[in-house]
Amino acid sequence: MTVTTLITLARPKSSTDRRRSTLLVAAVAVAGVFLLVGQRIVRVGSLDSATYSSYLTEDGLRPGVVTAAVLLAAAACALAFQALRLGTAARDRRLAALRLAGATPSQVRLIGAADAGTSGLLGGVLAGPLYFAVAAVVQSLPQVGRVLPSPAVGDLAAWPVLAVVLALVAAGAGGLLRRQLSTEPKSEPDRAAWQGRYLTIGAVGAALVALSLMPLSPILIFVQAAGVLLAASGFAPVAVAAYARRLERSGDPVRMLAGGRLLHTSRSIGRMLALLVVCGGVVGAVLAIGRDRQLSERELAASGDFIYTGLGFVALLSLFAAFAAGVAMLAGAADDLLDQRSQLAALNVFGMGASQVLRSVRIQLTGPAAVAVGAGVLIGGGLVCSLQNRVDPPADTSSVVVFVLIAAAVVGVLAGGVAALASGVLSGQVRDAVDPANLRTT
Amino acid sequence: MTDALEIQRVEYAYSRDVALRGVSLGVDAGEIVAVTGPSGCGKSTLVHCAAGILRPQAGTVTLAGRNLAELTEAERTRVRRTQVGIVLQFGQLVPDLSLKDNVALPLLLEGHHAAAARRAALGWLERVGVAEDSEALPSELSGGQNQRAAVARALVTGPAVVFADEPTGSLDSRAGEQMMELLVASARDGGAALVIVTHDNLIAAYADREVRLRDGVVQHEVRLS
Repeated sequence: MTVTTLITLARPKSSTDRRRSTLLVAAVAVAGVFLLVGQRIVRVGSLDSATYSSYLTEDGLRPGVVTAAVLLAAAACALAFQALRLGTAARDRRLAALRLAGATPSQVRLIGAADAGTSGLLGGVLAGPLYFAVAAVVQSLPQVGRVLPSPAVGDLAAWPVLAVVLALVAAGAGGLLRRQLSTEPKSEPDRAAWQGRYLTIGAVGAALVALSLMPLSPILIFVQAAGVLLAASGFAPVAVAAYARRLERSGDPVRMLAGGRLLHTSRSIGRMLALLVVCGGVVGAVLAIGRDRQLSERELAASGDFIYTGLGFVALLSLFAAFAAGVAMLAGAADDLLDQRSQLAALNVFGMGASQVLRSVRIQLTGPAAVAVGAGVLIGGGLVCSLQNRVDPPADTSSVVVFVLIAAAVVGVLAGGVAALASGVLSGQVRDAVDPANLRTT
Repeated sequence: MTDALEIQRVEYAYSRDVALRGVSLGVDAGEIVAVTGPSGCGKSTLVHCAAGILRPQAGTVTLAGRNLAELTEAERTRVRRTQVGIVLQFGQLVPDLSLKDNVALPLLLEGHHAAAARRAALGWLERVGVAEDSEALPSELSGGQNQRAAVARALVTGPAVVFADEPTGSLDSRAGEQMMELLVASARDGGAALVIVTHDNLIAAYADREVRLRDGVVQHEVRLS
């Protein structure tokens, strides 16, 4: 296969392909910005405490800022990975047709790698100017918000290296996603087997959290966070599958349609919901800390700026991660609509119109998002309360517990409302999907 | 006999191409009509107009005694749901739902109780010979088994007319034959008229009458039985 043929075959063909590429480029660019931020902070020497935030000038806090940047990059990478998987069914058919036309499996992987690698490289290249723009904005902030040093010559060297690394990682992921491409119809994965694996992962995470809450165990925030992430990653897909089966059994065609799609995508949606649980956890912890009476007025007067800056950045981090998870879920739903357009057009003949299909998408997104965020707030707030109970003498956290319960309900409902509003973005895709013109498509 | 379907001087044009130029066609209850013709002659457009999926720009379509042009979109949808069954080339079953739920969907949309709808669906799946796969997803079954379920879905509401648009197009000749025998027997069993769109003469031979289209007009009609 010549390079020209490779480029021709790898180039995005449909409007959905182009949207997927744009999302991939944007997600890689954002991940690149956060990685450039991280490397800049790692390389920085001593800084003037009158110019920069304490988060940068104090050696003990700097690793926290780097960790936050890496976590944000990880959230952007999760979005990029989801973007890579978009349109998979439609593209798989195209690539399967290429296999039938004589392309070898390695050639198909190469096409997948070239497609993803090009987007990764473009994202990496865009990351540079974006990073310098972000750095310029941060320099214009007051001292307390200046958590990024001004750019250095080393950044100019790091940028192209990072662009190449991101391109290679994207190409690798793109190639790997094509490794199992077959010309045979795909069989359904064994439901019991995957649920057993996920439940085990969830149980390990829950055990980690439980161990960290034992009276004599050391308080390890990172162990707790990892435990929550593992537990959410393991339990969320199984919970989604259970909810989906309940919807399927309901007998209401709209809910059945939502349940069918959820059941089919329970693992990918579950991963995004796990991210939402963690975001909710961060919000819950921040709210519980803010509500804690031990955070006295004197402390706030002495270091209020420091505390609020920290909470502000944590809130931004969780908002960005939640946004990434939300976009990935919406993009997945849009992909389902495209892939099922001929079946949805046939349902339209039987009287299930665009409004009902849109309602099914709303059900598919709203309930799980609301429950995930609400559960996250409960977990985060609950962990803060449990830590407060371990100080000597134990703090009275009853009012914080009540506050966290109310906050979980309110934030959960808000998250559901945002998901319902966001699903409206797909109304155009729904109308396109039920169009009678799709009756002749395969 | 009562006309199940009456199409009079129907015209339909897409943005640039004129697909139908004043086509008229009547189908009696229980009759089997094959609409044939070369690719692009307007066969599918005619069926989509007849089934109330497309609104013709001129002419009238009367289905089970209702003039579709006089109905609101909601009324047309209801007529389509209760009086029309449709079988398409690739089955077009919802991939995430079991065969039973796919067949039950038209009844559930009509407001039937879930348990009753699923019982009726299972009954039809038995009649078309795929009851043992009722809990399977379409992706786990062959094209022929999916088409059998699509026939069950088309007939589960007891429609006046069943439209089959290239129903054997994705099947091999043996499966295609079995499919046609099943479709014809099921339609007769349910007392429905059957309109088959095909470019295959062997498939057209199952019909009582063949209507041949060319360039959006009826070229000729032949009574086959």
